[in-house]
Amino acid sequence: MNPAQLVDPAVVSRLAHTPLAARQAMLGHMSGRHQSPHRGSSVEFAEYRKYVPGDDTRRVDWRVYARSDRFYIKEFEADTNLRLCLILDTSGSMAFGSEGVPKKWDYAVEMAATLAHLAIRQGDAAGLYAGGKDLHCAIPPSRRPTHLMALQEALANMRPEASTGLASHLHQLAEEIPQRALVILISDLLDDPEDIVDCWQHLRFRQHDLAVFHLVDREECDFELDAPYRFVDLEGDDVIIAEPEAIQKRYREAVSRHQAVLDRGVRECQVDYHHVMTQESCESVLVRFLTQRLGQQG
Amino acid sequence: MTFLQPALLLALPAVFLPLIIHLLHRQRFKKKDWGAMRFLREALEEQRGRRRLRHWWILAARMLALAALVLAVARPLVGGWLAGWVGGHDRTLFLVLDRSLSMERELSGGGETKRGAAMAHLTEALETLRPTSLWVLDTAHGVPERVEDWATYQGEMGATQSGANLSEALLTSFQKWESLGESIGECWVVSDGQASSWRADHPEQWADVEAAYRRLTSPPKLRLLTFPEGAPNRAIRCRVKRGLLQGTILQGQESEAARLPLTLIVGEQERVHEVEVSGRSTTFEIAMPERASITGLIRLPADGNAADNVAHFAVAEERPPRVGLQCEDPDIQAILALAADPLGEIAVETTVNAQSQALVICQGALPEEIPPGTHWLCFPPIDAASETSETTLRIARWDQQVGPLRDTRNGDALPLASMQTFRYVPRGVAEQGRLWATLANGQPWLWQSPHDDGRVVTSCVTLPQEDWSTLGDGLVLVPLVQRLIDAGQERFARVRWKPVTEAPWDVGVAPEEGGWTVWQRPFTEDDTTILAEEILADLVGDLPLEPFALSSGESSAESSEWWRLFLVVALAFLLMESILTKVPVRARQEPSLPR
Repeated sequence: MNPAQLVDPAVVSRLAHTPLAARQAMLGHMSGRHQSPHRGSSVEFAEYRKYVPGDDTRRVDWRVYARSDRFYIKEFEADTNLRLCLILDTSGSMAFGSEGVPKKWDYAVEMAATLAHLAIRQGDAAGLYAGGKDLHCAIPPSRRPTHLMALQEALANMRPEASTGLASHLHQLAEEIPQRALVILISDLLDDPEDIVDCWQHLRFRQHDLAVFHLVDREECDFELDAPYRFVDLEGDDVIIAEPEAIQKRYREAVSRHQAVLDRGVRECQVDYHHVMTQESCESVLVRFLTQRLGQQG
Repeated sequence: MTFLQPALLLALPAVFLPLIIHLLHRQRFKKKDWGAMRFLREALEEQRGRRRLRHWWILAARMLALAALVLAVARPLVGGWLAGWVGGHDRTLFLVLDRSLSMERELSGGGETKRGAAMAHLTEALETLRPTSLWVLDTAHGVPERVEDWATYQGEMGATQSGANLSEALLTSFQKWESLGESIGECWVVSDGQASSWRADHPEQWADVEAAYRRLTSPPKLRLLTFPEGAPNRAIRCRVKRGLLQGTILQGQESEAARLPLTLIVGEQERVHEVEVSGRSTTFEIAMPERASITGLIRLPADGNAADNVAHFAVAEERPPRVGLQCEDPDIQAILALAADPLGEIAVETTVNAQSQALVICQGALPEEIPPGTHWLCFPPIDAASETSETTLRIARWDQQVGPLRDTRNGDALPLASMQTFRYVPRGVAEQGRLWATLANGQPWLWQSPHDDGRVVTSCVTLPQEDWSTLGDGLVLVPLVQRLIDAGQERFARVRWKPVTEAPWDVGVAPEEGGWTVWQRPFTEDDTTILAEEILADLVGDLPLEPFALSSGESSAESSEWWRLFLVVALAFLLMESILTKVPVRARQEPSLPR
């Protein structure tokens, strides 16, 4: 796959007017459009707080002291850049795609490439972490325009393979990624949902802004197949012969149970969760995502 | 378990066909790469174990049905007397058929005879087993014969009035088997187990048979097909002696006393003569017309064996027997003369003319030359070197079956046990001689010397005198002398009584030059004693004879019934398979196995 073709310029141009915003304060080294948890010297007043020994006396508001005979420090909002960490699930199940619908993997790559492009274009840093059984790609965030090409090349060279090890990767990344980053997970989440929720909690504990794109193929979800098949596991050699018609109900029940656990995790962890059906265009999903985040910007 | 068609067992690998078809069938499903396998597994998890078990049950049912079907067509033999038939390419069956008269006894009243049942069983067995080669030795012929067409041979195997010697028949069979080389097969003995046919009183003959069997390099498996005793039976035999028809009716020990109406046909006249029978043996006498030369028969009412219900006889004017008497001692001569002619019917002559006399009784030295064909009864000289026993010597054993000391027609033994001997002249008995009686100290008492020219010389070691023995009482001496006179008189009889020994095995009366020959069934066939299985086992020693008792209702097909059982088992498995596979589609989680 040509790295340059991963991003549709038309889509990017249409999305350019909707910035990628963080829902909470971000920690960055550079000045940017995102709110920082630290008080800085921007024009936007933040709050007064009592002076404590050790504070820089130059930041004491003497006017307030004159009026109230108390030492107050005047604080201003600090704006910083955003560190976007894209986590891509490269497990074998991501290679699935029903007829006439993009494969989950292709969908995920397009989404990741577009998000990275948007982030770097608006001056934020973007990094990429990908893994199936093992975490085989870890590109730390960077805001350099040339970094975008590196990300796209990495995306173009990746293939979904092997079994999933999503939960372990997420725990690992929760520890490795510096605090307060925007973490976007693009995955079909076909792992133990309880483990996935644990990972989300771990990421949230590390004060990351966590967004999840849960990619779902309708065929996998509805299981509407009209003939018996020999189902071959994309993540291994397991083969199951089954009549979908006969087990459709129980299959859907299994999907619902899986989804219910995830939904509970979303509520508990305040995850920016997006259930993405792959027949929906990537652009519309991203528009919805970006728009929603603008409204939630912290 | 034995299979009549073992080659068909090669089809047994066909039991794996359902498995192969199943595996091929699995490949027929369209392949679909699937990511959400966890949902599939979860959906199938609930009843996966039970379904998989059912799945394997179906496969097992199909495989077992096929296996049972293959086994059924291979015709298994389990149980029954045909089971264990030696299979293989070269299967030889050697039949030893007891064709004696006793085999004509019915198994049940009005039913088929033992011989008929045996033939039916054998016919069926041969159709089932189809041995490569079939050899038959029937006791009537005594010669092994290879049989190509059993149906034809069976037709020739009619009833006989002969006896049988199973020990001799088996000995001949084993010799023939040895000459056949490395044969594989079985030897079946078909017999009713009659004691006389099995020579129960001659166990030494069975030692020879066993030795012959042990000599075989590839001995056949031995089977004995016996029958239950059969329907109640009586046998009759008769003989005309000195104007009297002396008849004997024999019956089983368990038979009750009864009054039997005998049909007597003498010449053209027929009448009924009633006889009260009781015990094992009943004798009766009927006076025959004097100075007549006629034939006749006497017949028992119908019973379990029609073959021994008739006894033929012939009456001819006989000259009175003459006895020569030559004694050293006049007292002894008087005693012997009285023993020879107790009723005054026999001419006792003191001059010896052995060729015209029925018996010559000689006390003292024998003449140097004894003419061939003559009969002699010899007593020792008075001055012979004798031995005197300090204790009274008694007769320890004597031949009660045949010979001059045999039991009476009533079955009573002669009082030899109570006879005492004080002095005797010790003598040795030639190897080929017949020892009739032995003293308690092992010394011979009465014996017959061997001669090839028809001479019958019977010798006694004691004298009928008080200081020698109690022989002079006459209780033993009279029947001894009378029987020897009768035996010697046979040479001059116009009616000859002979047992049938050759084809056509029929009893009856045949005219002969100057008289009649009356063919009678062998004496041995009158003894209806059937050997118990344990006694038979003891008799044959270590001969591995496996007995199978057949009844009239039993069929050899009972053994081959097992193929039907296997067929039923196959159908049962198929039924089970259809029940297991007949599950509503909605309830199925996995595709059904191919039909």
